[in-house]
Amino acid sequence: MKARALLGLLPLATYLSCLTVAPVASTLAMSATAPDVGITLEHFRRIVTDYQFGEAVINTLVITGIGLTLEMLLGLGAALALAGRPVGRRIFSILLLVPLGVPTIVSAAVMRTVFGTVGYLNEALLRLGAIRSPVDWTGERWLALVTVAVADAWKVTPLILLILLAGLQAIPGELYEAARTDGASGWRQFFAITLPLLKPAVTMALIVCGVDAFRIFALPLALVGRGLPVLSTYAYVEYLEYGNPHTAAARGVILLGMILVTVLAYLKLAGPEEVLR
Amino acid sequence: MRSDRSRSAVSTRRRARCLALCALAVTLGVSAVEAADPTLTVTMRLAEAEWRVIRQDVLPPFERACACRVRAIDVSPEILPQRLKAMRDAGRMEIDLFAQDNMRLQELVESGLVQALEGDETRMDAAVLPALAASGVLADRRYFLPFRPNVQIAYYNGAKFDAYRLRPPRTWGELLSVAKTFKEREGLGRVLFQGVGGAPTVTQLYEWIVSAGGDPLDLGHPATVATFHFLRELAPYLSPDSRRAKWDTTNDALAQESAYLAQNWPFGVPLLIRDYGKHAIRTYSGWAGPAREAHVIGGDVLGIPVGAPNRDLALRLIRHLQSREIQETLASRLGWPTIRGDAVGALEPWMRPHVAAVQDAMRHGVFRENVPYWAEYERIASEAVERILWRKEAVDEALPPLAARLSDLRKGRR
Amino acid sequence: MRCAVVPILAALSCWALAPLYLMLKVSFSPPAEVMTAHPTFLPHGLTWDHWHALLATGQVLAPLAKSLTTATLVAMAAVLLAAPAAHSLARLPARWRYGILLGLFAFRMLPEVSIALPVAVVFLRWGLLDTVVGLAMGHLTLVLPVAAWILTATFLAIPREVEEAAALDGCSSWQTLWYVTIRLARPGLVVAGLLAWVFSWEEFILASYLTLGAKTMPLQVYYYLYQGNWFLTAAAATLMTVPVLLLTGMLQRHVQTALLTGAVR
Repeated sequence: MKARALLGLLPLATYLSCLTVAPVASTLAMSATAPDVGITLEHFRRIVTDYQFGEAVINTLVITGIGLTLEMLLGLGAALALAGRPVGRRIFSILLLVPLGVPTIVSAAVMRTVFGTVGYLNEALLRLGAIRSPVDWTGERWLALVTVAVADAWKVTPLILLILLAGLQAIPGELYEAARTDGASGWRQFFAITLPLLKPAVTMALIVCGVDAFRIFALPLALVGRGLPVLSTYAYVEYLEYGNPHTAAARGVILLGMILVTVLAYLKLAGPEEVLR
Repeated sequence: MRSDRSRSAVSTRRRARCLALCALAVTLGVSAVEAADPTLTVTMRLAEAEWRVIRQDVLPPFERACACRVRAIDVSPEILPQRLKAMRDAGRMEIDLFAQDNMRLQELVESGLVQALEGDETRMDAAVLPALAASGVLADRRYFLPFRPNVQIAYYNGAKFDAYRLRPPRTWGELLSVAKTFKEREGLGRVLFQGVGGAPTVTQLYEWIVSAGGDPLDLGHPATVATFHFLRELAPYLSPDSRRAKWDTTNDALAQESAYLAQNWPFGVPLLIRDYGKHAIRTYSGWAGPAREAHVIGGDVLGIPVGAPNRDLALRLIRHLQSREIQETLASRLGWPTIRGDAVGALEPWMRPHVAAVQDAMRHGVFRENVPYWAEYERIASEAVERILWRKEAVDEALPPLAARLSDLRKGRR
Repeated sequence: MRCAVVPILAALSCWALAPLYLMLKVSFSPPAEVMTAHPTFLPHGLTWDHWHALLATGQVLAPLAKSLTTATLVAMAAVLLAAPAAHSLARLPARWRYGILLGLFAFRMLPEVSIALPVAVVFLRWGLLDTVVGLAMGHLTLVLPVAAWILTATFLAIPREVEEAAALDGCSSWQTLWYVTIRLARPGLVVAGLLAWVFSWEEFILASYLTLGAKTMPLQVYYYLYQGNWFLTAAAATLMTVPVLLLTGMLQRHVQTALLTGAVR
C-alpha cells in the first residue's frame, strides 16, 4: 500500500530533482568556495560583519511579522465574509483577487507613487485635513518598516484569502448545523469549529507567504532605497551590481537557514500534531 | 445541476487547452521561419525614441551593405554580464556585439566574457577624439571601442528659480545657499543628490571629489575629506527623496516638482520637456568645486563577447556605428554627443540649449580610473555616503576606517 | 454582524482596487495632471496618447501571446504533476508529508537571482533560449512546491469516509478517483492552477535569463519602468491585469463551490 501510494509522487519528484538539485547544490557550493582559495567561510564572514547585516535581519523580521499579521487578519476576515455567501459575493471575490495580477515590480512602482512625499496618500490626507504638510512615510526607520509591510500586504492578502477560503470550504456544513441545534452561538462556533479546523490552511498560508516575505526586496528598494536593508537586498545587489555570485550565494544560504529555522520553530511551537493533520 | 456545472467547467478547460496549443504552435512556427540570412545579434540599452532612430536610420544601411539581418535587442547593463555568463557557460553565445555602460566593464573583463581586440581591429579613425579613443583599454589590452559618450548635466526648474529670484549655482557656496533658501521657504529640501548607493551615487561623488581637487580613490586625501564635510553640511538641505534617488527617479522628482535642482544624464531632456511638457525645466553644465568643474564621462562602448558566432560582421558593425554619417545622424536626431571631432549634427531648435549644456559639461569631462577593485570601491564609497549623509555620522569618525580599507585594497591586500 | 459584512467587503475591495485604478487613470491622463506635486484622484483630462504610444511600439501582441501561452502551460502542467503527488502525500504519515513538502520548498527559499543563473545555464545548453517550453519548465520548478502544498491540503480535507462510501457503493478505485475525489477536490485544483497561472504571468527574473529577443509581458513593463516612462509602464501594466481579471472571473465560480453537505450520506 505504501509503495503504491508513493507512486503519485514520482512524476513531480523526478521533475524537480532533475532541474533543481543541481542549481541548489551549485548555490551551496558557491557560497562556501572562492576562486583561488578553495573551501572557505570568507563570504559568510564578510556578510555577517557588514555594518548593515544586523539591521537587515531585524528589518526582515519586522516586515514579515507586521505584514503577516495584517494579511492574516484581513485575509481571514474577507474569507469568513465571503464564505457566508453574502450579496455580491461573486463580484467581491473577483475584485479582492485583483492585486494578484499586478507584477511585483509594478506594484512597487505604484506604491512609490502612493507613499512618496508628493504621493496620493499625502494628497488624500492633505485634502481631508488630517495633516498639514506632507509626511515622509519612508524617512524614519520604523515608519518605513510599517509602510513597506502595508504595501506588501496589499499584494499578498489575496493569496492568503484564497488559501483560507479553500480551507473554509472544506469544513463540512453538518458540523455547524449540529452546533446550532446544540444551541451554540456564532462566536462559539467560530472558536470551537472554524479555527481548529482551519489550522492546516493557516499553517500553509503562513509558510507559503512567510517564505516569500523573508525574500522581499523589490518593495523596500523602490520605496526606501538601500537605507532600509533587508536580507535579500544584498543578494540582489551583490549579484546584479557587483557580479559577485559567491557573496550572493552565501547571502542566499543564510536566508535559507533563517527561513528553515523559523518554519521549524513555528511547527514545533504550534504543536505538529494539531497543526499538521 | 452538478453535471451542467462540470460540463461547462470541462468545456472551459477544453477551450483553454485548445487556445494554449494553438498559441504554442504559432509561437514555435514563427520562430522556425526566422533567419535564412546571416543574422547579427546586437544588444544595447536605449530609450524608445532612441530605438526608433537606431532601427529606422542606423541599422538598415548596414544591413544593405552587408547582406545580412541585424537583430537588435534591449538588454539592461545590470543583466548583460549575467546573460553573457549564462550563455558562455552553456556553450551557446547568441550575442555578437553589445553596447555597454562604460561603468560596468570591469566584471565583463574579469569574468572573461569579452574578446580582446588585436592589431588592425583596434585601429580607429583619426577623427575620434583622443580621450575617448584611449578609453576601453583595461589591463593594457583593448577590449572596447567607443560608441557614445555621455555626461551628466544639471537640470533646474526655471520657474521656481525665477520665483525666488535665484540663479542656477555655479559654485559650491552658491549651491549651499540655494539649497538653504529653498528649505527655508518651502520647509522641504528641493536640491536632489542621487544618494541611493551604487553606481549613481558613486558617479556623482567622484565628480564632486575631483572638482574639489581630491583623489576619489583615496578617502584620506584632504580634499576628499573636505568634500565629505561639504556634503555633510549640505545634507539637511537636500530633498528627502535624495536617499533613494537614482537615474530614473530623479526625472520623476523633477517632473513632479519635488526637486528643483538635480544632476542627471541627458536622457531626461526629451522625456521631461517633450513628453511631459515641462517647459520650465532648463539645463546647464553644472557647478564647479573649489578646484575646478568636473563631470564624469560615461556612455556606452562596444564589445564582442567571447564565443560570438559572427565576429567579422560584428567588427564591421562597429566601424559602421563609429562612422561619420551615423554619428551625425545620432547627433542630429537624438542630440547625442559624438565621438568624432568632424561630426556635426543639425539639431531641432528646442534641443539646442540642452545639447550646448551637454557639450559644456563634456569640456570639463573626466574619465574614471579603471581599477580592478572598482566593485569594492563602490561598496566602500556607498557605505561612506550612507553613513555620513543619511545616518549623520561624523566625518572624522566614519571616514578613516573606510579610507584604511580602501588603501588596503590599493596595495593589493584584502 | 451580518449587515457589517457587505460594507467591510466593499471597503476591502476599494483597498484592493485603488492602486489598479490609479494605474488605469495614469494611463489615460495627460502628463500635466500626474507629473505634479498635487496629483488628482478623479480624471480631469483624458488622452489616448499613451495607449497609442504603447501599441505603436509594435511590441505588445508578441509578449502578450508568449506570456499567455507560458502561463497556461504552467498552470496545466502544475496541476497535472502536483495533483497525483498531493494525493500520495495526503496518505503519508504527517512527519513524512511535511518533511517532503518542506524539502520541495527549499528551492523556493533561495533568492531567485541566485537560482536563476544555474537554471538558465542548463536550459541554454538544451537550446531552450527564447522558447515557451523552456520558460514554462523553468516556472514549473518554482510553482510546483506551492501547488503541491495547496493540493495536499485539499486532498487531506476530503474525508476518507467519502471514498469508502463510494467503494461500498460498488465503485472501482478509478471510478472513485474520478467521480468522487477529483470532483470534491475541484476548488483546490482550480486554486492551485490559478495561482500557478498568475505566478508564471508575472514572473520576470527567470524570464529575463531565458529570453533574448522574445520578451514576456513583465519584461516589457520592466523595460518601460526602467526608462522612467511612468505612462507607458502604467498602460502596459493595466493591460497585464486584464487577463488575470478575466481568468479570475471565469474561475471564481469553482472557488465558491457548495459545501460538502450530504456528501457522506
